Amino acid sequence: MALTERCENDKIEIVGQYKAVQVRCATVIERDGVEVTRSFHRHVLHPGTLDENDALVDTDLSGEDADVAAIATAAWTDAVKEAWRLKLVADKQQLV
Amino acid sequence: MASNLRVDNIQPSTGMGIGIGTANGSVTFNADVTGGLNVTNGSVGIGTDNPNAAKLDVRGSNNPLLKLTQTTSGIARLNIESETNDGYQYAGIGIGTASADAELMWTTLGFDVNVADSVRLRIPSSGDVQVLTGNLVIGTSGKGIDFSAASPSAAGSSSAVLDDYEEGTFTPTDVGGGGLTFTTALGHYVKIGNIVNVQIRVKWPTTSNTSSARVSLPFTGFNPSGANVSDGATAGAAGYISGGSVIPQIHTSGSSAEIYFYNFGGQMNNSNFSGLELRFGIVYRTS
Repeated sequence: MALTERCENDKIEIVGQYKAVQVRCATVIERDGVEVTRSFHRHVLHPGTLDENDALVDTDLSGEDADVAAIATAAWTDAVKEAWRLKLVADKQQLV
Repeated sequence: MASNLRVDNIQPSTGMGIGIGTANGSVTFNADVTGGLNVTNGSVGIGTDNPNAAKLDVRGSNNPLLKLTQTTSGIARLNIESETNDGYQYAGIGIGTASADAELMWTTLGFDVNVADSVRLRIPSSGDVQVLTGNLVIGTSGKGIDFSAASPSAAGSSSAVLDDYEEGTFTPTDVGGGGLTFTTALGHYVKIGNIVNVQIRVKWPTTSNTSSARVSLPFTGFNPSGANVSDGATAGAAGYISGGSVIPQIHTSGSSAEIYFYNFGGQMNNSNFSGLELRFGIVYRTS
């Protein structure tokens, strides 16, 4: 009897005007090649964050799986990133 | 001119078989024959001279191998009946070479679909559909359980389809630009349809960072045509922080997956939470 565990990004979705990338990683445990359990872990990626000069710092995709990074890179055009930056700047105005 | 041969019985003088016709010929029962082909105590083999236990054994490579055609209006019906049922099983169709493969059974309990010697699906006369083992698996994205016929849903309403359920975990991260790593970062979610219920536990490191205090969510908020309808979704109970209450609130200004924190003075930054921990839950709508 062999138990194996693998993770696969079984859902990668692009959502909304700022092209948020929703990633669902399925952790699949198999016994002798037959799936026993499947659990999900999610995270969402946005184009970036602001630095102290309100410039956009691109989200670091180096830690993402290749398929996620490729989709995010394709979705986050310069126009999308600029729209996201302006959104963050507007949000910042509301800080205490 | 056709000729007729009429006899009462044909009995071979030797052997067991009687041959009729030629290699390409056939035996035809004319339309005016009201009787039929009666095999009183034996089997009929078509495509085989050795019927395998069955009364009727049809073999061949034809597709379909067996065809029933109703020539008048009505259903072409294949009746499988039991004259002396055992009080439980009335009739069934075996699919495969053994009962361990698959069977369609009509029993006192209902119509059963058996696979691997177990009843997997049952439709009793009440009309319910029972999945007796395993899960009901929706194989197509966007499809699910349609409640549109249930009052007060509008008939045919696509909004009445429950097409998603999911539970899982996520790791809340700082998405406010401070580049912080939370000391504790735990998140669980349950998504029912497009409603997300999340529980979050985060602890900020000791920090003087003044970037917006913002924590990631597992799904983006709902923002149809810029309406930001998820904005204002707040935790039912404010997390604790020294110096006052905190109101975790979605403030998407668009379809982002973030939660902001407010007190009565406005939006809070990371330094307000330095070294502090929040535990809260929130329900919001996703797209």
